[in-house]
Amino acid sequence: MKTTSVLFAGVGGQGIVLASRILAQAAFESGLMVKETELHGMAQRGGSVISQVRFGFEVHSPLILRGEASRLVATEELEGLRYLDYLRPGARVILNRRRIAPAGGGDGYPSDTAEALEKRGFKVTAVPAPEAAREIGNPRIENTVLLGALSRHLDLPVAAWEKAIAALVPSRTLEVNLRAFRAGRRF
Amino acid sequence: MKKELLSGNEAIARGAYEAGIAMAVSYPGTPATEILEYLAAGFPVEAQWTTNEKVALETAIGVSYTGRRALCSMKHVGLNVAADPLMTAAYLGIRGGLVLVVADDPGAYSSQNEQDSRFYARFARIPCLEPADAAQAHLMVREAFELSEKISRPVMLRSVTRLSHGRSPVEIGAPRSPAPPDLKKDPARMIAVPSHVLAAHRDLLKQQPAIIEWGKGSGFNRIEKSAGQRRGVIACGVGAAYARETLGEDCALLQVGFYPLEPGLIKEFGEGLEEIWVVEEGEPLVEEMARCSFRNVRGKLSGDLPPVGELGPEPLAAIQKKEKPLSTPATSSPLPSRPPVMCAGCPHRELYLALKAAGPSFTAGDIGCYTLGASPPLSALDTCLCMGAGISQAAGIAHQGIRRVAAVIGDSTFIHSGIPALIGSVYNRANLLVLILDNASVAMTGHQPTPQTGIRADGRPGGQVDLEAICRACGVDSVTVLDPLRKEEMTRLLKEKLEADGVHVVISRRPCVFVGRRAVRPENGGGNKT
Repeated sequence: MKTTSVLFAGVGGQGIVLASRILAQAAFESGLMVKETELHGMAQRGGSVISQVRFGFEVHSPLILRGEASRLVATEELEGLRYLDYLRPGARVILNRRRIAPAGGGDGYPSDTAEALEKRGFKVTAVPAPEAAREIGNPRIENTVLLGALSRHLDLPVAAWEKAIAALVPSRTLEVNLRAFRAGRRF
Repeated sequence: MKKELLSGNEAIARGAYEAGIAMAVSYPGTPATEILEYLAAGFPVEAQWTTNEKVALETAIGVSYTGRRALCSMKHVGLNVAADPLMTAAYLGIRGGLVLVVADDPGAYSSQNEQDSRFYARFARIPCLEPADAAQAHLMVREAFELSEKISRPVMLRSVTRLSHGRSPVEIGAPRSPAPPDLKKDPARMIAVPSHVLAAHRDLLKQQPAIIEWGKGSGFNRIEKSAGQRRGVIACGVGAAYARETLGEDCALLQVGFYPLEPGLIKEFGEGLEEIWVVEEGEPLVEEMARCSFRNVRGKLSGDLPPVGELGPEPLAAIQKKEKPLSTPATSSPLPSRPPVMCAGCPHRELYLALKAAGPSFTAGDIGCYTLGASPPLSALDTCLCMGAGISQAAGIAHQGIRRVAAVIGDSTFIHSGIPALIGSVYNRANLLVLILDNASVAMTGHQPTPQTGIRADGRPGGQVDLEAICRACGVDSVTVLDPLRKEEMTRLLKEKLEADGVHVVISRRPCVFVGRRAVRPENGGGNKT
């Protein structure tokens, strides 16, 4: 199995660290070598943040090279456009339909991010995770919906994903997270 | 053996637990924080947050004097604070194993500089281990305890952000029990007075060959070279992971994980190579050594690699492709930028609005979440240097006859190193307004409890200190406590105190919006609870 590199991009506080850990854990539960890296501290306070996960048979570096990632999970639309250097041509973008205006105001915020991505040759799975999460009844499970959508484009068994979710989310939210994950698999 | 997916920090903590530490002690600081948090949350080990890194290291030395093992962890700049006990503890030595974990922050993702702690190890003449990933960190921390007891010296383990905050599988082992306490007096090795010091220094120097010999036997510095290879890379710490990821079979590798390097190692590696690259996060320490032996050394000193920022694997990928590493264009994006900001409902923002309305001539800042107040739109701070510096900087300015000078410091930073500065400004009669932003938490690093909260690292109740009482005991002219949400009252108060003679303290008190939601963060990657 060739190494798969997945980039997560979003806004500090959106829960990117947990989302990337769930993917890393799912790869680990699948018996693969995995390396993950994330940012904490100053970087996480409402700023632009990324996490990186690489898995396969032989993986050494947790950092994705430019032009290497085959999947991008963007928990916020603008952040979905910021790190395209890291993607390989034709990479799949799981794009959350959520827009968060930067602190300085929304000047220059692109109007149609999915279109912008497609124009550059990327494949886009647009996921209205905020609505899906509301329907399930917990606004804090948006990222699990996105992971469900991502899981359709990665070669990891669903059982490994579910085990990873069980290992990492608070146990009282496990049921709702599993529902969110399954809902995400419909996109 | 069971495998778990652990961060570098968790692997270090796990390794120390398996090595049988009796105690771990630290002060929060990114990227080192989770080492202590992980121990406090899930292991039967005494894990303590204390007031600053110097206190942490001295406490760990005390533990070691009882013959028991101690782990002391901190971020790189914390070691500046703890440098004093380190330098002399290196002379005197220790009893129970003492491992000092220092997490550097190449790229300064969450720090005021990107200093390279390996120089401290060299400065103190103690060994330093530098792992490439979490599994090696887990192994190295256990080996570091063995080495520490073998040579009776503190041993450093250097991490970097990518290791500390990167996860990979770790094969966990069985813990050994801490040794029973066995306190012994040993004046020649515990009392640093002139009559002991020169002998201790001599012993330290005499021990260097034994340290190098241990490194040689450790296998942490390893040459992988075969006939016909023309190019070689010396890769230190995480650099080795990047090298293994990117380099092809035509490239020889010297993986460096132990310092000091044995003399002759670089020479042996470089013999016959046309080009030697040195890949190290931080300063060109090994590159400098390599340049003593070879002319064809390429790295930061030669101008081939960027001397500033996190190196990462990108330059190595360029080397492999025989491209110039520096020629890779930096990401430039026409998108609106998104710098970090204060959280919604943050009490600091309210305080800054009141302070701006009160109109100080100059506001010296400090280190914490509230440093974000320096950025637009607030632009409320004029300095940020290091922990505790704001009050002293402001005093220096005020002593030049400048009025309406303010200093802003968080509650935890005040306890860390602001108190001596406050006493200094009282003693020398500065005219100064000191604002203590009391949010009852070390918020920036993940809401650790402070001595004021009376909650300890593992959630047990502890002694409680009283900020007002401390300030009064320092001899300040007034101490006022006010909720920053009472903005008009706060503005009036700050205006009045800025005009007044003497040192005036205003404690702006309102807990961080996240405090209470979680007093101790469970840092739990693999579901491990021992």
